[in-house]
Amino acid sequence: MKKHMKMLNDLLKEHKGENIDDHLIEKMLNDLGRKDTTDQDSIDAALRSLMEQRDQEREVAVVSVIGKDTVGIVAEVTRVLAESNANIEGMNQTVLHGFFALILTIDISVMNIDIDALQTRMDEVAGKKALKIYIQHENIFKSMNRI
Amino acid sequence: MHYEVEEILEAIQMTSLQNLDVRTVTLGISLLDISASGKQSFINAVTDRIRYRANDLVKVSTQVSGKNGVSIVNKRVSLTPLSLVASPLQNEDDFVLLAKEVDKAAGDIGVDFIGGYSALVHKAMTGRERKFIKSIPAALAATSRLCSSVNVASTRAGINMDAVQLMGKTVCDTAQKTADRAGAGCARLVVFCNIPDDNPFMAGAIHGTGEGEAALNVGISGPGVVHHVVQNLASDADMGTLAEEIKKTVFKITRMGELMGREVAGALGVPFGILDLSLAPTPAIGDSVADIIEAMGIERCGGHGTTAALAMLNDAVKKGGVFASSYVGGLSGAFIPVSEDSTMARRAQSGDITIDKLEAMTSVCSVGLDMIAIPGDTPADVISAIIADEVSIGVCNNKTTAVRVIPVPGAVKGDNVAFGGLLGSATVMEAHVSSPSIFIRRGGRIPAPLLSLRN
Repeated sequence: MKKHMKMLNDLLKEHKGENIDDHLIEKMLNDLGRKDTTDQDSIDAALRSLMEQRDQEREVAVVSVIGKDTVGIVAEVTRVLAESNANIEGMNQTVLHGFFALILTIDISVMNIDIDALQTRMDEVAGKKALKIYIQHENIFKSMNRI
Repeated sequence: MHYEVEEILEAIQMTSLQNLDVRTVTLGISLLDISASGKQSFINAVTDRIRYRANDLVKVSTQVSGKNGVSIVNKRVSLTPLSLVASPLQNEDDFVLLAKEVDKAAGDIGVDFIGGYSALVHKAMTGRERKFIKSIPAALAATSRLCSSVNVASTRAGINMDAVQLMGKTVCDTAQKTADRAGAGCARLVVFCNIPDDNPFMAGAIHGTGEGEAALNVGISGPGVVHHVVQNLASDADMGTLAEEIKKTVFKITRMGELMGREVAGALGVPFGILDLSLAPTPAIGDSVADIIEAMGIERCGGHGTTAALAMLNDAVKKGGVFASSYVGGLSGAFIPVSEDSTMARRAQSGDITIDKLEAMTSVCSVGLDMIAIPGDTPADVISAIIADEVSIGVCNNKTTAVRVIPVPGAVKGDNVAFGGLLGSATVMEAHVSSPSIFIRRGGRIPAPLLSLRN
């Protein structure tokens, strides 16, 4: 229970920022604890709901890097992402039919440039390293593969 | 949400290697409430409405395209059929002036085509509608983006043979007036049966009278994607497997089209209208409906078996797509435009595809006799008879059919004619030369068909 309270506290702060009133958090947690100290399910549900809310505010794009494997591809791509303030949430690397494929999922909601400008910067990297780099909003993959 | 690498690579393969794109986003604009009484004030009101409503269409489409990494090839506008609303205009010159101004407005906002220079005369024509139709050749000759369509038949009304006769002559006149462009004015003129109110594809896009103030309609593409799937199946995969794989693929591309359409509609602040489930080919290699038919196992498209293969393909496209979209409409089916489909054009050149086979194919797929080049000296009555045959298929089968033929001035059977861009190129096909004149000149209306006791 205490572990969940701590997670809930951290999540609220992450979601609402450090400025959220500590007293209010404490009161909410106490209320939750009083109401349902034994009901693990309701705490899990509250946690899930908070995480879902956090997910809704994120905006995710997929960066796909495809080409011949050479030294420094990951460094170049991640440098551009860091400069653009795009947070990398996932990274997957594979070799497909002899070609290198790097798939990154990034949060673009707090980027300091728009997605077109990011594509332009990636095109520069792609040109330098003889790669193809595609940036696509996750909605495309969601719409095509999830019901 | 977690995505498999294969899912991501599949989408990239579709968009970058297999020509998957959104073929068109078409903004339908209603002109029904324009009440200006003078000629110039009416024309100004129409063009102001176009500029106001569609001003951001190209910009927004480009943004949505960039965000999702899927290109939107055409941005278009469709209007309420102008013959219905242009009451302040009285003669052919007035209509042509309207055509030029609408075309100019379309150019100013940067759209590729604007549809709606249209008349709905499936039962009968008013005197003004007759004048409007007679203005079509001059209107198309004086413009480059304007598209025209005339509905001459419907399942409920039958076939207006007076309009069919007039349209044969109108097609000939349009070719003559655009002879310097190989008669390409005819590529922007289509004769319909059962014209849909919400078709996003040109040349037949209109914003029907049952529509609201504006709606965003989307036409998807994807022959290359379907071809890839069919090609990768074993040659002994049975028809059920074939249909199932096509359905799954079309489901995915339809979902993509719907997403893009909804994003464009949302950014423009207009309702999403419909998604048109059509497989629309382009002259690009690998973006051909004929390629799919050949990958199914017909040696050369146009050979026996083609109609059956096309029927199955068309049905699977619809079944895969309907569940993927909230609103399906427009033409929705596989297109078989000869000049716009590189393999189809080649098969026409080799004689494997004839106009008769194409007519048979149109009974099981979308649209009709489309982008077919015929000799420039084909008599108007023969073109009327081609129209009459094709709309009969639509009337009796309760479906949309259409004719877009180009009697290329000075060209004879076997000549190769290039129309440029998405219109592609085609070998001139011969139409039957026996005269249907007595039949066509009877005029009047072929009664609506009996739709029970169907055999």
